[in-house]
Amino acid sequence: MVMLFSRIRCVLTRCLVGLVANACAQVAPASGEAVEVAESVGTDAAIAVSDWTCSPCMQRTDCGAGWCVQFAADTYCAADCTNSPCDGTLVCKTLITESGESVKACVPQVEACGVTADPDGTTSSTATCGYDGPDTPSCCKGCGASGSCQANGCFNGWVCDSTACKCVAAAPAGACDGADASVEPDVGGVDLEYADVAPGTLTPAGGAIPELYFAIVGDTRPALIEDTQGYPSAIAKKIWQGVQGAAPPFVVTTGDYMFATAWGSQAAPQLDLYLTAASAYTGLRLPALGNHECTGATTSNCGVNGKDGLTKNYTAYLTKMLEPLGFDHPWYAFHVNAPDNSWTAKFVFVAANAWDNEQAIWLDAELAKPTTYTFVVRHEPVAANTAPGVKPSEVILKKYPVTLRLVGHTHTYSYKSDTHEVVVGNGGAPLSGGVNYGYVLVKRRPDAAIEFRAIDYSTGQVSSTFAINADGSPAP
Amino acid sequence: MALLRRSLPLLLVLACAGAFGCRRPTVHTSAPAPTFKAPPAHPADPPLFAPRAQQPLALDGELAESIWRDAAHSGGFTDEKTGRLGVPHSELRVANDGRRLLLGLYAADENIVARAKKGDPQNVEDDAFIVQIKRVGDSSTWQFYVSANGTVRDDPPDQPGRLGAVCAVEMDGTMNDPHDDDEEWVAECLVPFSLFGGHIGDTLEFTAKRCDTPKGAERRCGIWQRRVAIE
Repeated sequence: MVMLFSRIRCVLTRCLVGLVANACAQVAPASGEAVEVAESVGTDAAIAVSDWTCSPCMQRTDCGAGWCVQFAADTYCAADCTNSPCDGTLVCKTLITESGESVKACVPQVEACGVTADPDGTTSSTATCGYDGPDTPSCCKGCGASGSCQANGCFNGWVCDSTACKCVAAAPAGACDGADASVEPDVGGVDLEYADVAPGTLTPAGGAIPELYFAIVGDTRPALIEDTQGYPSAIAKKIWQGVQGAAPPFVVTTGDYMFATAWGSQAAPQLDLYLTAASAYTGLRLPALGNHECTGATTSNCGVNGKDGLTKNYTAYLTKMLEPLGFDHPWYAFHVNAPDNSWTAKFVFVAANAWDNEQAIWLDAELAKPTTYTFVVRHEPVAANTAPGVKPSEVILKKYPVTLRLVGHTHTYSYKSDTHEVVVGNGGAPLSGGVNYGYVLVKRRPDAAIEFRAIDYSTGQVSSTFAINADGSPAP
Repeated sequence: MALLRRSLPLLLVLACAGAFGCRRPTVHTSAPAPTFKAPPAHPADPPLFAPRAQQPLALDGELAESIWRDAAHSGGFTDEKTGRLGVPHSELRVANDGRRLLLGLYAADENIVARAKKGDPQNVEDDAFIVQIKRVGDSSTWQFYVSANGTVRDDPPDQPGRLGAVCAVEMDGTMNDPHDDDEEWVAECLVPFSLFGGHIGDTLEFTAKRCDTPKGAERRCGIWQRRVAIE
């Protein structure tokens, strides 16, 4: 257990430095032949490859005299090359530091820093839990119109339960209930109690799970419009690695995955960066639409009935994030329940920036379905009432019991008991509050209360907690 | 409330369709910029590089042009009190067009406040950036201020006919309304080299500060200081 916790805490800290340093010392030149990087070139003018070069970092102080730069979808130490050339195996590039500053730094010619060694192979692996994996031919027929069918008949990395010919979400490594007992889960500093939840069988419509356990991530985008190269990939990747380590069966995301002009060309590339970072988590991701998936303005309204229509941002979101789940609207519901139906829960995804009468009718009907817990997932909090769907959806919500609103938009984490909402908007977008980047883990307790734990992405530690009852009232 | 645009400078600049030779017909300054004490510089850090734009810039408060991707990035400002990364997030980008500095200023802001306008006394509670620019080796420092409602104040004060700094501001939120949650505001500014005696090839000492009062919290200020070379 001690060793496990030690390894857990390594994930988001510097412990990996030693693991990765060796891999990073093997730098492939343009020819593809691996060469050993010299420790020092022995000239006054050249930048020496010191022991911190190419080591993973979280901040500049991790890098001695160098910079902590964003490179190969992560952050690594690199020497400055403003006034001195780099060693021959490295090149001088203008890169963005972990804090967003532009610097000139020495990095490998190819993105070799991205090659990391993981001694037990658990970081990027997934478990099939006895089901047929993506590359194993099976009887499932879950591809639909997605066009990216796997050998097992599923898509999006899902595995096939051949006993029922049903596609289910792949479980994070080690999360199988006994099936992968030899592989220890890597839970990123989170209490194991939160990670030892069997995945159950989930589809985008829902399913039965032994415990109500999920994560919330929200608002991942660059500060400046069209700034695809400034996309917070490194932060997002670390967040999703932390989520993967905590092994929730599904994750709710609260919107805003891009900052692109409505009719420009950067929506799809930014979503690709988001999906690449999010692929560190192998379970089911359920997204909500944000204002940046419309035009970017909080007041914007997309969709066939919206004043802003079918923007490039909106269509890219539908194509890349909802179509693989089989949804053709940005509003939908997700129902989960205990195998014995001792509790039921619904997650109602409201698209306040694609609001129309059709959604209003659907929302009313969906909320009328009785469940033990009702979570409303909407990008904008109650106070961001200039979004077209906030006020009208609130009118409908007031007719039904709601456990909690799961929202984003404001780039911080906060629990607002007065408006019955938790704001999770600290997923990589420029922070507006005093809470660091991170995510939230949510679990139903034995007393039936729902406990929320905010996790700091840099440490993997819990930064704050609260608990509520099914009716939204505070729980001890 | 819709995404608002401060139209005065925009109209002035659109009249010349983003051409580099555009001259602002009226002085847009009203008072000296407020001063602040800058933190010590970090002489060990090499300068950032403010590249020259190859395409005309549309001064509209949207930092959508490619030059803003290539511009020198400040990254997040540092909290003036704690020395840690400041929140709400503030950021500066710097480029040039051969005659002017191009400044892009980003401010995450959940409650955008700016009441003072041109000719008014400064309101210390207004959300604003203050930028100081000093040529390396010079003794004098030029400074300007731009608030979330587009009010520009620069130093020295008004001189009729003088070519001053001009900014366009865009925001996502509602001005001076604490009852809802805002998201951010952005200023896109042109600063003639003549204001601080700059030239291509100069290295400038930049200091930028932005203060904000989040809902239910004390006013806090972020600051950034670095040398920037004009390429």
